[in-house]
Amino acid sequence: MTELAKTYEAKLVDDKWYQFWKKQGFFKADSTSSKQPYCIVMPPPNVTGSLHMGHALVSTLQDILIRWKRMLGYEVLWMPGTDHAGISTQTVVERHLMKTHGKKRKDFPREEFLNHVWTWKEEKEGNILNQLQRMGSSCDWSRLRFTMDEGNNRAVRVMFKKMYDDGLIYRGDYLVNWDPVTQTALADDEVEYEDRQSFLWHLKYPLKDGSGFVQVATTRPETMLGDTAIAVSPKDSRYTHLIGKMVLLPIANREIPIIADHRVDATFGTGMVKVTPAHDPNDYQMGLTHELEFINIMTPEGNINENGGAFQGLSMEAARPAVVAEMKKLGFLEKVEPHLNRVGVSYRSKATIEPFMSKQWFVKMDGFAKKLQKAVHDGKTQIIPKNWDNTYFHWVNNLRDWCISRQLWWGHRIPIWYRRDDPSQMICYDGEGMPEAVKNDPDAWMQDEDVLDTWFSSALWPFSTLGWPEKTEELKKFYPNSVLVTGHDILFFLGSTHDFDG
Amino acid sequence: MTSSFFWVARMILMGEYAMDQVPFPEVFLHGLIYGKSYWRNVEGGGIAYLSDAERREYEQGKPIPKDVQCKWEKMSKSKGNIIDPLEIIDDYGTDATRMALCASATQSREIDLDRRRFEEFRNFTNKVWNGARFVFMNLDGEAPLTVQEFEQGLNESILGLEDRWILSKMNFTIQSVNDKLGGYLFDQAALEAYDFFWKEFCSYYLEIAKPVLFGKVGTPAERKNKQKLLVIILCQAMRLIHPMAPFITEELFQLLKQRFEGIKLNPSIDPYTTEAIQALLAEACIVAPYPKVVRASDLNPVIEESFDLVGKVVYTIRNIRGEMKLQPGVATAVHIVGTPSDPHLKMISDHRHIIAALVKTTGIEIHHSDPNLGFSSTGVLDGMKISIPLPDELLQQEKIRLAKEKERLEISIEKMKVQLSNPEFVGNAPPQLVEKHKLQLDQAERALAEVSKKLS
Repeated sequence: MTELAKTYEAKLVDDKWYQFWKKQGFFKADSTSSKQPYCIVMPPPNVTGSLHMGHALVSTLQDILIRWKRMLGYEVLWMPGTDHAGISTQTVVERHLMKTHGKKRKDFPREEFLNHVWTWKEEKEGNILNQLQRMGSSCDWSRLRFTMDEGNNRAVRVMFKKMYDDGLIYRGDYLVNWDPVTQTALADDEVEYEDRQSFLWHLKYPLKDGSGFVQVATTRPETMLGDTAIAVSPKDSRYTHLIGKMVLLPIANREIPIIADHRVDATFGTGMVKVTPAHDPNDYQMGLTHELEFINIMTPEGNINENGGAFQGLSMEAARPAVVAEMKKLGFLEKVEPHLNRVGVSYRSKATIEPFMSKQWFVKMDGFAKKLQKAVHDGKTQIIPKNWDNTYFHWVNNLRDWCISRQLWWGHRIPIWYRRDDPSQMICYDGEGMPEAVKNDPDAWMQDEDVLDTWFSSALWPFSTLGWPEKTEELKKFYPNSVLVTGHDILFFLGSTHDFDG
Repeated sequence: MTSSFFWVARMILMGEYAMDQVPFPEVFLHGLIYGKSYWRNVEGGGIAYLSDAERREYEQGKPIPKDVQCKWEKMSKSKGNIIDPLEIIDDYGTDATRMALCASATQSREIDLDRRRFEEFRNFTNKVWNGARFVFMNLDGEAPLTVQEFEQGLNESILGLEDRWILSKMNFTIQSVNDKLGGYLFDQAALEAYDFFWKEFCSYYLEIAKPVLFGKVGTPAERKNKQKLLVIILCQAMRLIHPMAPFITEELFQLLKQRFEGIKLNPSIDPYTTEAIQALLAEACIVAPYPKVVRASDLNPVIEESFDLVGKVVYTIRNIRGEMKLQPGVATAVHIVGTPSDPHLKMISDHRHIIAALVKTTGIEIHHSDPNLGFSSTGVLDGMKISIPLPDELLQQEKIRLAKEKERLEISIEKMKVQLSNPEFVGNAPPQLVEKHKLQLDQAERALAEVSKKLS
């Protein structure tokens, strides 16, 4: 006779059955079975994270599909794993080490710092994994992966080299979103935007021929130290007669030209803007079009460098009032008006983002844009709900090259070695350790200091977890995966691309 | 994950590049979770979010003061509107947590979540437990159902309307839940399963089956048949709900397996029993076959229509009882009046035992013309009249009330008459006032006539 307790006690039931399922091997996928495959690869949560309601939702939805298909008789694989989450993990560990050791990251040798991060990872990873199990997730835990495990490290190196050899990865000067606090470049989608109450400064620059002044309006007067042109709209008849004339840039005492460019909005301020190609994304584009000089005035730490003359050593923030005061003293400050300014901040450190020129690695996107569009347009990949399609197409049509290098230590180190006496000589190596040439003459070579964007490894996740680049049974059976279930955190992205559209 | 959308595109890019094939044919993007945040306006501008403790009080039903405002916003620490899933699991269990999340996962971009949502589904897991508990108690009651009896299958020739109805509903729900999951309509899948178990199985079917299961009505064969149906339905329902609420369903499935230990599959029995036995032979619910439509021909719109009619009659009766403020335990007669040619009347007449199982009644009578019922309340349904006479004890109370009412009316009529016969009042008062008094007198006299008629 079966008698049930009067009330249901979830606590007495849940763990008992979870352990039973695990012990019986019900979660395990068999890549050699003849059953039809059904595979979901879990969007990897941060390895040191903690379960929040978003995780709870996404893991529930995945598990529902997985259990449903398993009961329907499919050979089911729910592939679990965690993400090393470069910038966020490193930031947390840096903060921790500051507290416990009173030291900054760069006070440690690289290896030692990384050991601290690995220790942190080992200590914390159990947390999120246990929490996923409490949700009842029926993943094949025997296949648990980590974006920085041996297999993934190899997949990343092999992919990097393949793309490098195909000319799809290049190193170049680029204006990046620089976070002076963590000292790394951020991807467009790692920048959040805030409206801040600020000012619009009207500055006067004397014309070289002594015939008077031009007046520009700017939200960032301190970057005038790096101005290399003045620009007007070609449609603005007020200024047509000035195009081509030279201006004497105050303080720096450099001659710079007045140019016409369609990117200038004739209705903003005076309709005349200063052009600082090394410190503004819009001006960067103008600099390329008009072959202007790119003068960098900032150090990686966010201070004025030697190009800033007397202001050298001031932080960008302190340089602003100092430059304004100097301009006032010289009689070149016309007026100041209140202005609401949109400022980019790091999603992680909340530091103000500085557009900054630096050498970075990129994935060329122009060749991919069409493919990405076609994949969704032709229904090879269907986005559900359907109303996301337009957002996807908008994104694909506004792609910039993908900056994949990060000035961090925690991550996949870029597998490139430069010759010390001629850094244009590079070796890209996808094997373990060092390439032969470097081993033979280690002092002559140095490895790139940077690591890859976390998204580079997670972009390989659907096949790297199945054993790529090896030709495995798993890949044959479970690639393509059946569906990807994830949340849409896209709202701020729309804001950020608009900014770069200019 | 900061930006899954970019990630999706980057995976497509790398997948096409390295594998010559997109990494997945489908991407399901779920909505963002919003929590309710509460705040007060601060003097001199700006707002201050409430403390966690205060917020919880309002979430648990304390009335919200006027100076506190609230709205749904993306969950964030600074707004104090985060709900910690682990705390929810501790409070309500994992199954309720999962069910609530599943039922909230619409295809809109915003998913609103508060604690009440989880409470609602804790009530559901309790309902599942209690429904199953009833089934198990009944299987081992005074007429136990043996394993061998179950192996012999259903006697389909004696299935009643309610039996064929629940089988039709079950097949329909199975089809529908499979379809909804296939279309990533998680919320609808959860609600269909929820409604089937709670409303159709527990609130209707079990109530209707009780008199037969308790041996008060019907034959022993009908009683066995119903017991078998309970096993079949419970066995299907547990598997149907398992992906959403895996723990409680595994527990109950294992208890069923235990109860029917050693069961063997008999050839040439009905497909429902065959399916149930095959499922019970599986090692566990997690690897048992997911329900599929057992017999498409049992999806029967005619039966569902008849049953819907029965449901409407029950609903109407319950409404009338509510208006009469009858205590739940009070049984009354029910009179249904309709034209002989109305097929609905015939249908109701045939299924009086179902109605009788769902409302408290001493008997249901069908009439072709108005019976004289005296004190009664009436409701109308599709051209039929449903009346409930006032039960005797209430009748006495009602008579006392009416006598008092009569007395009150008589006094007030007398007073008004005196006033209206006073020439000073009629001559001096504003004409509208006089008119108003006449009207009131008229109304009171008519009310008195009504009360007197009821009392006679």
